[in-house]
Amino acid sequence: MSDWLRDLAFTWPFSAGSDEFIVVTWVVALLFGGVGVLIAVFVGEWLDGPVRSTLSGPSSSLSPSSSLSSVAVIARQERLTVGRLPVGEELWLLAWVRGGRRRLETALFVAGVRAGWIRTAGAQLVIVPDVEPADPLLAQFKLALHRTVMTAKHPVHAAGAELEGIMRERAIAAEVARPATRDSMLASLSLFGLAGLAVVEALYFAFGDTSRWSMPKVVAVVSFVLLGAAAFTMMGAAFALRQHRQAMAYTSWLTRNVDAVREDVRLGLTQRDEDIVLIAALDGESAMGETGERLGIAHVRSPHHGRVDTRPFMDRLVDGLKTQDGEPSPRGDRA
Amino acid sequence: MIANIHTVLALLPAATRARLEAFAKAATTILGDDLVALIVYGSAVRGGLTPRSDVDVVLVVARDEPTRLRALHDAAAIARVSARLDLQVLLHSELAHAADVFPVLFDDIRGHHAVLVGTDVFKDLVIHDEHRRLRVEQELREARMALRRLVVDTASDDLSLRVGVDALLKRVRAPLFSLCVLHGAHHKDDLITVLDVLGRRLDVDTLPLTNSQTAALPAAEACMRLLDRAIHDVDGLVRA
Repeated sequence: MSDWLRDLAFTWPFSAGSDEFIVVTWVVALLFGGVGVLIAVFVGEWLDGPVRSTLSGPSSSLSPSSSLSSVAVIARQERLTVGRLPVGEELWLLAWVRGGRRRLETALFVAGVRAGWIRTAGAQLVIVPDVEPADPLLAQFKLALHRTVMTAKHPVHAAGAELEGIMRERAIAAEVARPATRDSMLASLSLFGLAGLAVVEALYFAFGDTSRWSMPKVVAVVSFVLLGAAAFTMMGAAFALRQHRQAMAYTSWLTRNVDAVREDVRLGLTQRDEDIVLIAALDGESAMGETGERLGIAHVRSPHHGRVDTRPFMDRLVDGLKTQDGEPSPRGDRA
Repeated sequence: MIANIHTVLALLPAATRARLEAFAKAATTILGDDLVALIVYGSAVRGGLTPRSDVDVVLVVARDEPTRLRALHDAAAIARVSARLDLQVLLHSELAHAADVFPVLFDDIRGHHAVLVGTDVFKDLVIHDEHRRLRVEQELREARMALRRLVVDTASDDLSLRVGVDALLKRVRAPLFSLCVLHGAHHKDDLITVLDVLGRRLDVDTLPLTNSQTAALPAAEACMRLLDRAIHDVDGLVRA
């Protein structure tokens, strides 16, 4: 054993008693854990690269205007650039990064109602077979709805689930979502601090003054290490593995810049498809207000947790192709 | 009447002001020397701007090359969704020639505007009464047709009818004021004053129009009477 390791036993905190060392462990754990998470955050942002923005200089490409009846094409890696409103496929990307699959379903559903291939028929919403969406993802969503509407309990959710993989790939390609490998690597980094703590503890028990330690205290320290691992994993998920830097910057910028149109949609004062779908994608059906009522897609609040539940309107969906013969819909059978 | 832009901006909500200034900055950067003037008009200058009012802006350019204009897209789109900026783009060289077909719009701009960037291009614009009369008649007749259609479309929806009548009144404020101008009147051009003056002149009870509590159908009927008599009045001016 080298001299410096023998000297370690007489150096604080390795010379500390059990009670003092437990307190030191907590402090060191917090510091090391925090450092680990910070490292993961910074590495994550560094890997994400700089935020794309037209605000600091002229745009590299002109952004086309778009309606839901025409498809705007924007290069994948130019999508969701700060300073530009989302058009065409960017709206679905926005919905996905903003609220995941549920938000995507809402945006696509609202777009379907606005485009006229989902229509109100009495108390039901009917998928109109003859109208073909120009947007590729909307077309896929309509096909998926046709497939799931008679079989799935919640057809919109089932159709949305079919698109989830596609959206994840698109988001990664557009550099607004992190690949799974990067997520895993950042999660490992966030545990880096805990490894430091384990080293400190190992050194203490190997060379420190453990004469006054009782078994319950040893158990307490070991348990703490395990609890710390769980806590920092969660912290890592909460901080380091947040959304992609570009997605966060874009949604934050957009949220601050749609006050007028958000109000117009809530009060039913706009009839522009792109405005209505934009707010559905950004804020969800709970922000649709009067426009949602008019579209027949009013949301209800669950009595539990005040959560917005979209099922009541989405589940009134039936397939126009299969109900044209006047047969009653099987809705009652599935309810 | 040209207003001081600093006074106008000071009266705007802070968020609207910031977005208007951001648009002005973007337009200046993108258009450079081609930007002749950026002018604010409408209720933002005249008064009566509500949280849901559009902010009317006219951009006067020296050249209208499509590539330069398309470069304005992002700034204009953001200004629209964030502050209801309603943008018109005019070519400087067309202003004098267009005064015969847009006399009401140009009257409205000239009446109350503030120059945000550039020079006051509306100051010396000449608008002839005959052009004004023709345009007033056209806009009033179009409004009358739109009102008929509104009544048809909102058969069982009183709320939409009332909202529609209010929107229509805002739309005809400028031509109705121009009608007053044709009669040599010089008074304020806000909607309440215009309705009050014309109501007395044309012997129409405008109370159902100014009182928001009035039911939809009486308001629509009052609007029809007012438009009918205003059209008859402006039509009579040609014979006079």
